[in-house]
Amino acid sequence: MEGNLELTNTDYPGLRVIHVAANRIDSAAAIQFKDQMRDLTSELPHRAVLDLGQVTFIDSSGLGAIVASLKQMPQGARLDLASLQPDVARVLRLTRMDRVFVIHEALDKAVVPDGN
Amino acid sequence: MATKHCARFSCEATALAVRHTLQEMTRRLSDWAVPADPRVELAVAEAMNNIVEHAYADNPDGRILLDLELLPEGVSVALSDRGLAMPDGAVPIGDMPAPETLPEGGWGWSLIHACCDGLHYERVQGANELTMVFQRVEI
Repeated sequence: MEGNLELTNTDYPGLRVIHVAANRIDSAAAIQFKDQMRDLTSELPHRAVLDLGQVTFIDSSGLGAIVASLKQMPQGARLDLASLQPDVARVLRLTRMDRVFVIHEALDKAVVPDGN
Repeated sequence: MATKHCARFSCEATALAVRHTLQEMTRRLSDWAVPADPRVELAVAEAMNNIVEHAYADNPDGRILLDLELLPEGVSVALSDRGLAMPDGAVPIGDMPAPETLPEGGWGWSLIHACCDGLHYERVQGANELTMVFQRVEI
């Protein structure tokens, strides 16, 4: 039993917010993360925002799992990120993957219709 | 002369054991009143994940030894494993993958280089010895 990572979701009109209920998205959690993301987004017709507010550590396996989740989104759907802690933001910046995602400073800014 | 601060951790070559060892290491540094430096856990995580995924790719029974030492100027982390040697006998330079290709990995060595202030690799009698030095962060 790896990881102990749990994803929960809150749905708004045209938007699904996916909360990561774990402090780490690391190598031990990456596969679980990807699988749960697939379950939560495979039928999604619209935007999803990944709420990373609880996550204080991410490594390249975790980042890879987030990118894989982006790539497995249905056509026309989008995956944004929100509420990055400083150490998570640093990994995104160092890898320049902050250019790939729309990143919302706080969740309330992400939760507006078609917000970006 | 202050007491020498050093600690050794022995870790199974699995992702979950790596996580626990990283958490223990970070806790130990905090016990030693070392100012928190998130670069340490990130660089050591990448190096240990590489060992699990590459050096011990065909050996799930492998072990990783982690020697943590407090230096006058910062922290040293030495990792030792008995897995496969680095392909070129040296640490990869690590080119950051292009973001627009939506890579799902390949950042490990670039992150290690970006996070530590000194890096040394040697193959010694069938073991990989990788030492990372982190200068103390100003707070």
